[in-house]
Amino acid sequence: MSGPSPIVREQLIRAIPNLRAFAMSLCGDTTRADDLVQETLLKAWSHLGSFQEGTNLKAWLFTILRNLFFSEHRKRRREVEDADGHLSARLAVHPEQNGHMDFEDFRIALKQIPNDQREAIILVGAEGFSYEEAATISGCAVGTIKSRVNRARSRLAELLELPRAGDFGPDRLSETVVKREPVARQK
Amino acid sequence: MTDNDKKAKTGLGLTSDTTKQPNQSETKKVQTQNNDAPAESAPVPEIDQHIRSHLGRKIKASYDDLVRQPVPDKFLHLLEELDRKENEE
Repeated sequence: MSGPSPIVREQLIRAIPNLRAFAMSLCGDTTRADDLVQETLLKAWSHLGSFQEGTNLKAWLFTILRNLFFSEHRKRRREVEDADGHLSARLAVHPEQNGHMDFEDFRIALKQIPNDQREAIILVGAEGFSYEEAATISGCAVGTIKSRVNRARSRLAELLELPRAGDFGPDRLSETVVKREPVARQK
Repeated sequence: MTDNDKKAKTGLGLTSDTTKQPNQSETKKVQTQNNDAPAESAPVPEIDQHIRSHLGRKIKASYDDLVRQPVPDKFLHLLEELDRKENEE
């Protein structure tokens, strides 16, 4: 089999920063995230023959990565449970994380929601996949993705102690937004 | 369904051998692990539209910050290495 076409190769390279961000969001650990990205690239490369140019390479790569993550996660959990009889504190917030400190409070909250909800909100809310694409990536129904996204939002709002509907003052909101969001707007 | 769709599906399914979806009991375990997480069927309280968009911007900004992190050279080296191996074959 010959290597990927220059276009696919270029797409593969361009997807790496997003794959890393997705992996870091899933596992919260830079070293493990990089391992996941590396495994994903190797797996993708060896299966590129079955990939049709013009279809969504990024979605395909994300599928490979999340499948690797979830199978490894299940394996690890079994090991941890075998060793201790219960889940160890290893799953608690991990301090090692790339990225700007400004987002630390948010990332800590994100780590506290269930994996499937975190995956859904990242795919849809951060990476910009459609509900349909996210459902294909996660191997579940569109309705399940929608429900997970809703749960994730609701839980994050709780964890970040965002004001409830009704007592949500616009001043308080815009103040936070102005402080937090200038980076996003540059894009 | 177009040919492309079919191929995309085949492509997306290729990892299913090592990575099948969690079964029902595993899903339940995950939920007990986060013991304050509601069951999948429990109703979710609606959140205010302003909070939703505020949260949406936060999620995006925090994620984009990760996307902008410099990529270690090892990934490009890996692809070069794969290229090289293929050319040798």
